[in-house]
Amino acid sequence: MHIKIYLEIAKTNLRHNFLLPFAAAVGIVFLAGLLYGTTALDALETAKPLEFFLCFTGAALLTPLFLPEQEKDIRDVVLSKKVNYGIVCMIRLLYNIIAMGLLVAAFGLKLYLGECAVSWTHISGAVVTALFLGAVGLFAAGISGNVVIGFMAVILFYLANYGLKGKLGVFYLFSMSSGQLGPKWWLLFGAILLIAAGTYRQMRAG
Amino acid sequence: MLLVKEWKKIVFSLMFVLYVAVVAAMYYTQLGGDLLTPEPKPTPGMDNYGTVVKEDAAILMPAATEELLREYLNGYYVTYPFFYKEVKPKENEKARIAEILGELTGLSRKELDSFTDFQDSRYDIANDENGNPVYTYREAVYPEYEMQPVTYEHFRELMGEVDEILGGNSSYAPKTLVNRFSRVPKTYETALAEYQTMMQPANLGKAYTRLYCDYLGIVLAVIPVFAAAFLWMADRRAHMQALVYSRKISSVKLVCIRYFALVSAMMLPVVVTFVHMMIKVEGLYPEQSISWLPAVGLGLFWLLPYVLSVTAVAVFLSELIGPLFAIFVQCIWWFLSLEASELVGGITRWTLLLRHNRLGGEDIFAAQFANFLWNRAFYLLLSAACLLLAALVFDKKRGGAFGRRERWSVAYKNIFRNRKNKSAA
Repeated sequence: MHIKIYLEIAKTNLRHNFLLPFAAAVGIVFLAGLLYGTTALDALETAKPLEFFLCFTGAALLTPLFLPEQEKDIRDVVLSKKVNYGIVCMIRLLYNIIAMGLLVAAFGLKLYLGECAVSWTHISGAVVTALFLGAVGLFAAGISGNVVIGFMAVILFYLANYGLKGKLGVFYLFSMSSGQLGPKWWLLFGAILLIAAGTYRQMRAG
Repeated sequence: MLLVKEWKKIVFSLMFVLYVAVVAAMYYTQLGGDLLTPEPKPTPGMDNYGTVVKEDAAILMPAATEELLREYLNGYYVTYPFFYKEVKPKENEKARIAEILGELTGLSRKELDSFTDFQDSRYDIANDENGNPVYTYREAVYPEYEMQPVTYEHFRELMGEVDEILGGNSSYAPKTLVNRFSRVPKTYETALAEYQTMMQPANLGKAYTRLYCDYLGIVLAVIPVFAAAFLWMADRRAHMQALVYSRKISSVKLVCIRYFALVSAMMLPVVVTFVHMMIKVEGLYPEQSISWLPAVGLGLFWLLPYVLSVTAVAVFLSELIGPLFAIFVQCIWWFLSLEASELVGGITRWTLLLRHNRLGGEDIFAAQFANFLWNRAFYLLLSAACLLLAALVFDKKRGGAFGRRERWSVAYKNIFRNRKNKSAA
C-alpha cells in the first residue's frame, strides 16, 4: 500500500518537478561534449570535463529540490498530506541522484568510446563531485528557503575552488584534475551531511 | 520615492548581505596579498625576471614544428573557434600538411605514416604499493628529424596555410603563433623598464585598478543575475505581481527604476572596496604621487558594464521566461567566458570577462586598448537593448499577453481530463 503511494508521489513529482532540471542537466552534458575534447585523452585530461563541468549536473538536479514548496500555497498543501514531507524529499532526491549518475555515466561512455583513459575511479569521482556541488546548493536553498540563494552558493563554492584550492583541503572539487586520484570519501560524507541538514531545515521551516 | 523603496528592499535583503560578503571576500582573498607590500624594484643578478613574448625565429620554428608533428601523428588538430574543437582534415588536406611537415623536418609522408612507435606525452593510471590509484607520466616519442633550412617568412606562410586548412583559430594562426610558441626569459633591463613605466604617476593607479577589475570582474560577471532573480521571485512569492501590474506608472519607468535600484545597490560594495584599495596603495607608496582620476575612469568603464549588462539580461530573461532560466543562461555564459579568457593579453571585442591578471603589463594592455573600448561599449549597448526589451515584455504582460504558458497548462490538464473521461466510459 505504501509502495503504491510512494510510486504515485514519484510519478507526480517526475511529471511536474523533474523535466526542467533534467533538461538543464542534459544541456550541461551536451555542452561538456562541445567544450572539451572527448577523444584520446589521457587519464589526467579525462578528469577535467568530468570535474570542471559535469559537476553542474548535480547543481541543476539537486538545488531546486525544494522549489515547489517555495510557493506558500503548495507548501501548505504538501504539509497537510498524510505522507511525511521528508519522504517526499527522499523520493525526489533518489530519482535525481539516479538521473545524475546516468548522465555522468553516459558521458563516461562517450569518453570510453573516444578511446580516452577513463576508469571507474573517474566516474565515481565525477558522481561524488556533482553530488557534493548539488548538496551545497540544496543546503543553501534549504536553510534560506530560497532556491536562488542555493544556486548562488553553488557558483560561489565553484569560484572558491578556482581561487582557494589549497585552502579547501579534502573538500577541493578538482582533485583528480590536479593529480590526486582516489575515492572522494570526504566529499561523499559532506554531501550526505549537507543534504540531511538542508532537508531537516526545510522540514522544520514547514 | 519608488527608487528609494526598491533600493531599501534590495539593500535589506539576505541576497544583498551575501553579495557584499562575496565582493569583500573576493577583494580580500585575491587582492589582499598585493596590497601588503609595494611592488619590488628589479635588481641586477636575480635568477628569474619572468618571461616575455618575443618574436624569435630560432625558438618559434622548432616549437611550432614539433606541435604540428605531434598533432599530425595524433590524427586531429585542436582549434578554438569559440571553444575547444578537434579538426580531422580530409585526405587531400592531410596530404598537404604532410608535405609541409616534410619541408620542415625532411620526413616523407611514408615515413610519417609508417612510424608506429609514436606516443604522445600522457598520464596513465597505475596502482602504488598500497593499491591506491596514482598517475604515472609517459614521455612523448617522435620520429627522429632535423629542422630543414627554411626562411622565417616562408615558415610563417606555411603555418598560415596549415591554419587555413584547419579552418582558422588553430595554434598556427598568424595572430597566435608568436604568443604560443615564442616566449623568452625577460632581461633585467626589460624588467626595470617595465617597473619604471608602472611607477609613473599616471600609471601606478591604473596598474592596481586593472588588477582590481580583473578579480572583481569574475564576480560581477555572474552574481548580479542572482540579485535580479531574487527580486523577481520575492515579488512572485509575495503575490505582488498583480498589484504591480495595476499601478498607474508606465512600464518603462517602473522597469528602469527597479533596474537602477539594483545596479546602484550592487555598485555600492564595489565603490567601498575600490576606495579601500586606493587608501592602501597610497600607504604603500607614500613618496609617490598617484593620479587617481584616470584610474577611477578606467575602473568605472571596466566594471560598470558588467553590472549593467548582466542585470539587464537577467531582468529581461526573468520577465520573458523565468528567473531560473536567467540564472542557467548567465552561469553558462559566465563559465564560457571564464574558460575562454586568457589571464593576460587576451582582451577581445566580444568576451564578457576581461582579464588582466598582472600588476603592470602597461604595454600589453595598451596594445589591446581598442578591443577594450569596443568590448565595453558593446556591453553598454547590450544593456540598453535588454532593458528596453524587458520593459516591452513587462508592458505586454501587464496587458494580458504572454499568458500562453497558462493557456498551455490548461489545455494540458484538459487533455488529461478528457482521457480519463474516455477510459471511464
